[in-house]
Amino acid sequence: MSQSNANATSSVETSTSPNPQPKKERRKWITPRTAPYIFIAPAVLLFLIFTVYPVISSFLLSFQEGKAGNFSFVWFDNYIRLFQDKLFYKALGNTFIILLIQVPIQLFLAVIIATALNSKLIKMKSFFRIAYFMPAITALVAASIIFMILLDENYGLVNYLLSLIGVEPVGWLTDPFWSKVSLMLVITWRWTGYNMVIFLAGLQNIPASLYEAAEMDGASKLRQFFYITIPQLKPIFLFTFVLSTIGTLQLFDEPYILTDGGPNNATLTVTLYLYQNGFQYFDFGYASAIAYVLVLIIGVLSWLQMKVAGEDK
Amino acid sequence: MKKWLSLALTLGLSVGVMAACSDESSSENSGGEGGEPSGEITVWGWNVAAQSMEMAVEGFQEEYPDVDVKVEDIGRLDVYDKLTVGLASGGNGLPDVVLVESDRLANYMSEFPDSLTNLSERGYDDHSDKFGEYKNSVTQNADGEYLAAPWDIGPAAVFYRTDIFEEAGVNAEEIETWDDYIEAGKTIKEKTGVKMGPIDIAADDALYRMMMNQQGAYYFDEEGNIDLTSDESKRTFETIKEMHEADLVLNNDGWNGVVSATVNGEVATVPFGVWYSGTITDQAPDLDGKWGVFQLPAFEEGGNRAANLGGSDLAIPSSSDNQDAAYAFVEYFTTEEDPQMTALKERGIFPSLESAYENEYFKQEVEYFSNQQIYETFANVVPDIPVANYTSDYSRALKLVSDAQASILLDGQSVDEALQNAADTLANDTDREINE
Repeated sequence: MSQSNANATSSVETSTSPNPQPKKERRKWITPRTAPYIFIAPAVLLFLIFTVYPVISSFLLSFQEGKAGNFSFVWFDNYIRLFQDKLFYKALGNTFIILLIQVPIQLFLAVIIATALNSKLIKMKSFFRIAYFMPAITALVAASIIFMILLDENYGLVNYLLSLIGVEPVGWLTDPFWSKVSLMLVITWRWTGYNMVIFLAGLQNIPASLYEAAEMDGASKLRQFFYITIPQLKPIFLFTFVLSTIGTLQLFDEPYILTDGGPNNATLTVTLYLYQNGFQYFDFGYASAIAYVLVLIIGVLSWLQMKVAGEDK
Repeated sequence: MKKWLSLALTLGLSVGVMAACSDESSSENSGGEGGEPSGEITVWGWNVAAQSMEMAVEGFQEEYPDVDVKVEDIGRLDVYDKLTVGLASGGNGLPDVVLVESDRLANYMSEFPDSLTNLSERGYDDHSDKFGEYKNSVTQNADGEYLAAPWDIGPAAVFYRTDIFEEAGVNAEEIETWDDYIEAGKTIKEKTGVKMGPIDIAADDALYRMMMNQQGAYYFDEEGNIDLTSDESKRTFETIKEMHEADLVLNNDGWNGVVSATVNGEVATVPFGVWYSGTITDQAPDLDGKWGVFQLPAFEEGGNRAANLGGSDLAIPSSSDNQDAAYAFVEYFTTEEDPQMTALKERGIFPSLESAYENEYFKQEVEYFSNQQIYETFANVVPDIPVANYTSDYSRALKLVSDAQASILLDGQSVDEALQNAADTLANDTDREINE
């Protein structure tokens, strides 16, 4: 939303360069000079009402406390409380565990699949591309409910299949360790195909001449992969990594539906904790403070990733 | 160009501000002033409760022919989401009457005290002797004024499988204490392989709440101080832990898991509120005659066996512009016997209106439950239900105690430590004192 608006504004600025016009007798509202503003006005208005206003309002809210419906300023109390809140650290910890384990696995899988689907050896490419991309456009709630049924400890298909080969029932959603694993599996299922498509686009931009030259020098396929494909994909890696980081930090739907943050907060994420505080405990000020700390973390992480990746250019 | 931009900015901001502030003052005008209530009112509820209200409309209109009642069946959690957002924004888009569960009510009453109509000012106090102490306590605010009207109540008991008990040679009537219950469970496990009861360990502490309530304890004491580290609380979790260690507990994921276990015969008993009878008869019609009910076991012989789990009440948001009609409906629906009996017969919803218990229907033997007079059993529980102080931090406490339950049963943490942690976190989040 914000991105598209920024583009819209900048394009307007360039198009409204001094435009010599003959003076007219009647004053018109719609002139070539004003038309662009009128066209973008609805978008700007919506942006202001539904994005800018809530952003400012929740920032102010994060310095307030609501008691019996009346809000009063408590300044940094919410933030101070946040930095002493064990559950917040637990949520942050969970989110980072997912970030550090799941995101690399997912991106690695995405590259492998993209490379395979880009090679000439595989038939029915478009079928596989669609099949892998499908999860990204499935309704999240529906998908999560299906997984909930599959992973049920007592009646789920997964445990039934495992029981056929003599494995004891696993508490996929009720055991603190396995629930984290389940959550990561579901996210990987959902987002690998999405990243794969981005990698696929990147792969097709690598000049074929590089591979031809390597071929002539007798480089193996594996060497080509590590010395041509990976380095050439570097900007794509950066892009997908930043996107996945932001996505993981905002993870909400899957843990909300699958486990509701349980058992014992093993799958509590920062946004889920924010939701609980705001809409279940009515602690709106505190929830806003969590939101702003999260914004800060995302900003810092994205900046770091850009910086690290940009340095050895 | 700058002028345009600033104009757009001011316009946008002022529209946003206006949207946030409007509709704040619409609570004053109530329709049909003076005369008979008239017009249309909207009622929010869910599931069988909404159906019960729908069934009451006809009787209501015999007394108030000019009022149209529109009952909307919204999902339970959707009602809360919409109610929270609506109240927080000063009453936008709220109905004239809304159903709220008793244990969630305190939260709304304390967060939005002026957004709920004071029913005492309209004369609801006249009905106060028609309800038990427990039900009055949850619908009144600190000053003893009704902010909601008491409707259904959830007296608790143990539903059990008569055939499984028989097979194991256990007599349900001899179970008087939780120790007896555990012993019976061990025998049943040994003889039939069936576990004693289901618990949704990670997400719901229902058994803990029933056990606490029967001891006259809860998350908070009467002053609202945190009471999680009390002797009653520790004793309760020690008992649940003992059941779990004896492998008598089936860990279920969510409500559906509990229902499946009940229907599939994987558990011999289910301690729950009376409303579960509706679920059992509905979901397991082929187990006709194989279920029975006995009172919750006590902690010591002769101890209190009464507890409540669930139940709900009706509130009128102050934003309603037809307060007269809304109040008329709430009064009719909660204090007349007819709608209570219809709700019980048709949908298994148990009235809190005590005069209804005189009805012949309560003496009736229920075929599905081995011809027991189960309604009388539950009605007898009601007067002994101890008062519980749910407070505005009920949801937070429920979450933290469920977490403590998971860490005791799944991670092997000690009861004392888990409860102390929960109490500390709760104190940190709510500015409440912990009882020593």
